[in-house]
This record gives sequence, C-alpha cells and structure tokens, in this order.
Amino acid sequence: MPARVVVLGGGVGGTLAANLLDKELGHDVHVTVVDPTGMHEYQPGYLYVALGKARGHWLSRDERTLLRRGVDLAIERAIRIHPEAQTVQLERGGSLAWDYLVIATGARLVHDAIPGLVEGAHGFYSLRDAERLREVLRTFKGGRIRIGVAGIPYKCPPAPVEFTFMLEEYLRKRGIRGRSQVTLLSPLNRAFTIESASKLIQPIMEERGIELAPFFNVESVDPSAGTVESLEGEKVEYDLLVLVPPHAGQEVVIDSGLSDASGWLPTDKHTLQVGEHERIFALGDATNLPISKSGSTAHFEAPVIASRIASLVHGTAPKTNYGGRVMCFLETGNGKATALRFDYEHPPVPPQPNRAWHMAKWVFNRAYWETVPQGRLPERAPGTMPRKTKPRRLPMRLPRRLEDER
Amino acid sequence: MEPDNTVSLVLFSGTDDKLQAAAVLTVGAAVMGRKVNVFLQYWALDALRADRVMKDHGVSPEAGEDGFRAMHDQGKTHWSELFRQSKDLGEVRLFACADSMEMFHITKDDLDPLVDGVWGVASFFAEADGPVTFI
Amino acid sequence: MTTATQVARSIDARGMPCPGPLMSLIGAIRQGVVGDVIEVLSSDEGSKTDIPAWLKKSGHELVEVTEEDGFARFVVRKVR
Repeated sequence: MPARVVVLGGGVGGTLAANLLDKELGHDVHVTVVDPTGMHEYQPGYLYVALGKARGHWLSRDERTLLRRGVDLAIERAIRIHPEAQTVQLERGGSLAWDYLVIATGARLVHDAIPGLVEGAHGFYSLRDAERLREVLRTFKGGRIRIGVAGIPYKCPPAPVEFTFMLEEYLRKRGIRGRSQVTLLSPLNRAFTIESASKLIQPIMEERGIELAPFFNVESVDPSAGTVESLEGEKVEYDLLVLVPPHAGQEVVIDSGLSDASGWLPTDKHTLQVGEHERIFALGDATNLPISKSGSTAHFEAPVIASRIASLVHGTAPKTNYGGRVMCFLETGNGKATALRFDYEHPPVPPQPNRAWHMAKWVFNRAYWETVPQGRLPERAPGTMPRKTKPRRLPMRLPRRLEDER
Repeated sequence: MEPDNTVSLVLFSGTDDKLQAAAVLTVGAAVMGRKVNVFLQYWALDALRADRVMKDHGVSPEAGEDGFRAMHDQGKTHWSELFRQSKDLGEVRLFACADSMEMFHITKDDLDPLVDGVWGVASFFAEADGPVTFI
Repeated sequence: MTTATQVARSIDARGMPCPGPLMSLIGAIRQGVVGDVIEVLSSDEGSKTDIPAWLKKSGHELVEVTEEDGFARFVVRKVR
C-alpha cells in the first residue's frame, strides 16, 4: 500500500515537496497537492509589475504543468485538518485521508486589519494591488511618497526596501524626482531587519535623498486627511502611500486548532514537524519560525521534509535537518543588487551591491519556472553561501618548453 | 540527486564584446548553481594579462558602429569585474591554457589574479562533464 | 525578580535572532489593551538597546529589566 501524502498548498514549497517525494519514493507513495486556485504564482515578480517592468502573465502558471505525472492535484480549498483521524476536509464536501501531511498554505494578506488601508493605501503584494499601483504611478506627477509596513511578520523583508530604491530610480527616469519626496517608514530603528544589510543600505539611501522614518509601525490610515499614523504616536502626510499589508496564517490552520489566532504553525526549527504531531510538517510562510518569510526558505525546507517523510515511509529514523538556510536578493536600483545568504549558524555578510547580483536575480527570475518547482536546481543554487576563505588556487604548471622535448 | 553539470566555457576571442558575453553567461550559470570552468586560449588569455586587462580590447568586426554604441550604452561594469563578482555567486574558476601561455612566453605572474590556475587541454576536458561552449 | 504586577502576556523570545524579540513585543502591544503588562524574555544582545529605544519612542513604560542566566527579562506596560 503506498503511503498517502497530502500537501496543502501549491506554492513553491508545496510543489517542490510533492515532486521530491514522488521522485524519491515512486510507487511507495501517492502524493496529492490540494490548492484552492490550481495556479502557481511567482510572487517576487509583483514588484516589477508595479513599476511597469513586467507583465503579470509570466507570473503565474497552471500548477498541473509543474507537478510530476504521478502527483495528483485537487483544486479545492481545505477547510479543516483532523490530526487524529488523519484526514483533511474539503470545502465542497469531500475529504482526503493521509498518512503524512505537509502544510504549505503560505500567508494571507489581511488588508482590512488596518483602518483606512484599503481606501488610502496602495501595495504590491498581490497582482491586483501591483497592477493598480502601476496605473497610479503612470499618472503620478510628483509628491510625497511614503513606503511602509503595516504588520509584522511579513513576506520578503527586502521588498519594501527594494521597492523604495527602484521607485526612486523610476521617478528619476520620469523626470519627477525633483518634485518628490521618498520616505521609507521602517518598523525598526534602521532600514532593514538584518543589521549588516542595513549598514549597507542606509548610506545608499542617504546618497539618493531617501528619508528613513525609524520606529514607524503603521497603525491606521486616514484617507480623507491623507495621513498615516504609527503605533508610536507619529502622524505623517502623504500624497502616495504604499504599504505592506498585515499578514496572517490561513484560516484552515486556525480553525483546526493547530495554531493560535495569528495562524502561524508552531514548527520545530530543524525537523519542521508541527507541534507534537509526528506525521504533520510545515514549511514556508505558514510556520511560526522567526526567520524570513521568503520563497527561498520554502525552497530549502522542502527537501528536508521530503527526506524525513521518505525515511518514515521506509521505517528508518529521519536524519535530515533544516539548517535555517535563507537566500534573498536585494535590489538597490541603478542596475545593482546585493544578496543575503545566511542560516542558523551564519549571519549574512552582504556584498557591496554590484551588477553581477542584479543580473543573477534577473536570470533566476526567468529560470524559475523550468527549475525550482521541479527540483532541477543543484543544492547550492541560487548562489552559494559566501566563502569563508579565499578560493583555492590550483598549482600553476609552468608551460612546457618545446626545446626541452627535443 | 541533482546533476553536477559543470558549464565549461572556452574563450578564444579577446574582444570586449565577447568577453562581456562570456562574463554574463558565467554569472547566469553560477547563480543557477552550475559550476563554471572558463578556459582561456589565445586572445582571451592575452586579454587577461595583468597589464592588459583594463585596456581597450575593441569589439568584433560584426559589431559595426551601431553595435558598438549599443554595447556602450548598456552598462558600465567591466567584464573582468563581472567575472570577479561571479566568484561570490557560485563556483567559478578561470584557467589559462598551458599551450597559449607558452605561445606568448608568459608565466602565472603575468596574469591577472582572476586566473585561478593553468590547465592543459586534457585537464580541461577531464573536468568538463557538461556542455562545452566556444566563444 | 518580577514585581507584584500581573503579567498579562509572557513572550519567550529566547533563541530568536534579532529583531525577533522586539517584533514580538510590538505585536503584543498592538494586540493588548491599555494597562496590560507584557513580559519578554530575550537572549539576544541587540534587545538590550533595541527594546528600551523603542519604548522611549513609543512612550510605553519599561517597568523593569532583569538579567537572568543567559537572557534578559523585560517587563513593559502599555500606557496608551
């Protein structure tokens, strides 16, 4: 009897985990991916849509085309998980039995948790929001632009900073930079969560005349007055407000009693097991792990879960652990980018922004569809962890002199 | 589980446009986790001489004036700098062809530090377990 | 040790990398009501400057800070 694995969510983590399980276990497993839309979205692209640099159609694909033939796809919404009965209840009435469950349900955007956000602010965390913002930017004639964060944790810590840099470049190209003020409202007293990256970013912001408003956790927006207010008691006027909306875990997780009201699943940082449930694993944005919510996190966690479930199916002790590896590109505008590569043991040492990393992100964005979800990338991609020592130099052989031969 | 598929680039031409193209390919391959071995022969090796790296190496005849302008409008990062940056992205190594070294009567000290070693043709093909591209 | 005030919420952020503990505190303040006393345990060095700095800016009260074995305990009151 093949082991039944149900994967909730067809994003990068769920798709990759499903494919790896099918590849590794073959006839010993039957994998079903459950996804409400059956469409796989490449979220890092939304930023580019908002700035008119990409069209939405390359950002989503039919999940069926990304899954191996042996993996089933159920285009359904899961509404309840029953850990003891080992079933998942579906919205339209059906139910799926599982021997192992992978929860890859991601994060939900909760725009209306912040008063005034829906009417007063723009965003780029969904395709719809990004397209709306693009239209607004097209007719924008200059003014005070504030970019901020309306709830922590949120997906992709670099995104607000990247958007700020790329927007500033966009304003310059449009010739309206002189008439505009660009401010990054940061929840912390620095530009970015990771200190070493902040140290790199802040001087560039200063050079480009981008203001930093520290300790600004958005609490409410007043669309008629054109102001945004912080938890810390400050109020700032805006002409254009771009906010990262509040995030929460999916309702199915909360309704099943697997998490608290935030919806983030209590997950072991190494084994990725959910709470005490030995047959339930979680990855990606859905977990409560205090690490970056990033596609790369899900990408690196998926093989760990696939390997652990494979061991369990074979009756051996799982040995693979997740070491906390995360990899984020960070665009700094003007054709340059840097990268954050870290894990539980190693904090990031981001390089000075350069052209190679910008190109690298460009290549990765385009190569994604043919490589990542199918597990076709070597483990060291994208980019390797920074080398601690200088590259090993092979011994140089002196050129053989022809005269010596004669 | 994943294929190692080293990408091997043989650089023969030493014009700035071809070296730029090679550098871009290297960056792309490196971020996708492919090991990259660049093998420098003839004019490409000559361009990597320490005292010549930053000199103007011209462009291929096929570029023409419009092509030349298009290339220069592109970006200001020199191909040698891209190669250098690519080593941080992934496993990238540059090797000088032993035969070409002999032809020019040069030693390792004459080369830019970007060059990691010297290989004979046999060594190059021994490591080339993936596609080999000639530029 | 802790004062006699009732702790409404205790957050064990030990082992969380910077800026996790501060973010957890901010989240708890957001969700709490005025008067709530929130306790945060952090093993991160950065919290010792970050948390007081945020409290200064936001106006909430730092009731007390105690150094324990390998971590610090911050007791905070939401004042507005």
